Amino acid sequence: MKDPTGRGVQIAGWIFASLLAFLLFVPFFVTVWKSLLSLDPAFPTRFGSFVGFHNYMELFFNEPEFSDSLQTTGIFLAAGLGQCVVAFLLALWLHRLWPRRLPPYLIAVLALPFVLSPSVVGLMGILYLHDQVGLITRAARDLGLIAEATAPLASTAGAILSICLLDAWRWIPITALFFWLGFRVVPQRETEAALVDGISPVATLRYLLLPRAAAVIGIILLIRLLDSFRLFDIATILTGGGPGTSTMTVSLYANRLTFIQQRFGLAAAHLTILYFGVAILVFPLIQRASKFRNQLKAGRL
Amino acid sequence: MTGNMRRITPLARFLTGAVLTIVILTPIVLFVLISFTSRISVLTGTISPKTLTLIHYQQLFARVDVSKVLFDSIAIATISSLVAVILGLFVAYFVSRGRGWVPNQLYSLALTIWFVPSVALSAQLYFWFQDVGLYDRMFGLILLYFIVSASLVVALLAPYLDAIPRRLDEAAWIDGLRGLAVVCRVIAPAIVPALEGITILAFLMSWNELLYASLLTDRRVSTLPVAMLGLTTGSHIEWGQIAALGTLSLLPIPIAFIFIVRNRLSSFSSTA
Repeated sequence: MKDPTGRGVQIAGWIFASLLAFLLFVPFFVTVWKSLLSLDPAFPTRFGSFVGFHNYMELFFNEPEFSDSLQTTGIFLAAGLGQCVVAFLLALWLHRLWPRRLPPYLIAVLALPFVLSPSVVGLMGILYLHDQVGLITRAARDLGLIAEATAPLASTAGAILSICLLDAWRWIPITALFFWLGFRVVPQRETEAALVDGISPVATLRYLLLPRAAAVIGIILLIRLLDSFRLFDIATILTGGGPGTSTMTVSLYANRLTFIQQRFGLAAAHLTILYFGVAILVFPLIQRASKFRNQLKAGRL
Repeated sequence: MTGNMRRITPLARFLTGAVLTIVILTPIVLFVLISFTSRISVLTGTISPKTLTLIHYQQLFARVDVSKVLFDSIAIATISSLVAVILGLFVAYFVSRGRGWVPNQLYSLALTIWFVPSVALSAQLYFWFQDVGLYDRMFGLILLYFIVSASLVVALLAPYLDAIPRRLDEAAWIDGLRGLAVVCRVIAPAIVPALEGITILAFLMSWNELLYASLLTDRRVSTLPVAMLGLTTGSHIEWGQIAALGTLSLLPIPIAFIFIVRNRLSSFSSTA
């Protein structure tokens, strides 16, 4: 049998491939090029001239907000990893209770926070944690847990913690659900055999579940970290990057450089760095996903 | 020990389900409830059927052109997700069954588009949209969301199609079907549940998207997340209106849920 796809499908595929390549590569090269130009309206005399790596030097040595944004995103990446650990433990527990099928009701509940708009999650944060009107803020004040004048979103630690909390509420249930689906690649008779043979749960996890589900676990971890890396919606709605610059992630900082300060050269340099940061996560993800697909094609799963 | 386990498991299942449900549902239920409750009764903690009010919705409608926001959001999300699923299905078939270099790389491209931070593309898109007159136009957002959603469709459907045995294609081939006809008449009917789920995901993705929408629209077009962001800026926060707008944006979720449950139930009864 020759190539089974046929002319129409191939044309659709080619059109879409060129569309994606255009949308992905052209902005990338334009951004890299712009990062080497001086595009700061504050210096009209050299606007548009080639300045080499000057923008990068500026970012690294003269823009404290840049390193702040890296640090903030680092904190959220660590928080994302922490969420994955919690979700993994939850998934193990669910796997123990429901090895084959989860009740549909529970699947719906676990998926619910994820299908909610991150903007709505941010709005919930405002409703519960806002300085003046937040329900939790008021309750904590009434109970004397926090001082009258303070609020969760007014301090650096509080604001970061609030975003982490909302993000965890949104992500842990769905991540646990995906981990649980990943465990299902191990046939039930094997886990039961381990149980009958008196092998401890830890050893079963170490020698049976982990190696078999490793591919899926890797993919889930990478997806989760990528979303931490580009955290934008919740922080924009809840804190707008504040107080000060304490919750300004790399995404928010890019937005601020481009659209508020309009320093396009610096913004392009920042975005170029961002592209490479993403590449570190995306390339392993693509490799794993392709490997996973090859296993599917060979019918080995 | 096993007898002990048997007694413990139902209880553990019940407790786990209850704890998860409470932790996940409480913030949402409270949020919706607040949108129907006057400020004073929330603060004094006296929420009862008698204190329910539509005052926040009335104030919200007076402040924001909600019907226009809803119309724009529904139109943009519906059109972009439907087109994305139809075209994405063909592309996913191409990726799964096609031979050579392009189909494989196309899968990587689709994943990359989906995972690159929107902010990295947004600056360039902003200038392009202004140049070609797509800025602040519904068509611009529809086009953009279509591309991103179609990538999602390809990324999710291709592995799904990989798992479908080739014998199905071969049977269609022997029956004289080619290309698009194989997809429409053999593959698509076999994966209707997956298609439904992915359509809903694509719809919600466009419905929920904030960054592109806030940068690429101004006065003529407005979507729900942008309207939400508009409510949070300014010195005075109207929490009732925030809850009301948020509640409106939750509407597709119960609708999608009812749709899925009804279809699954009817398919069960038809197979029985």
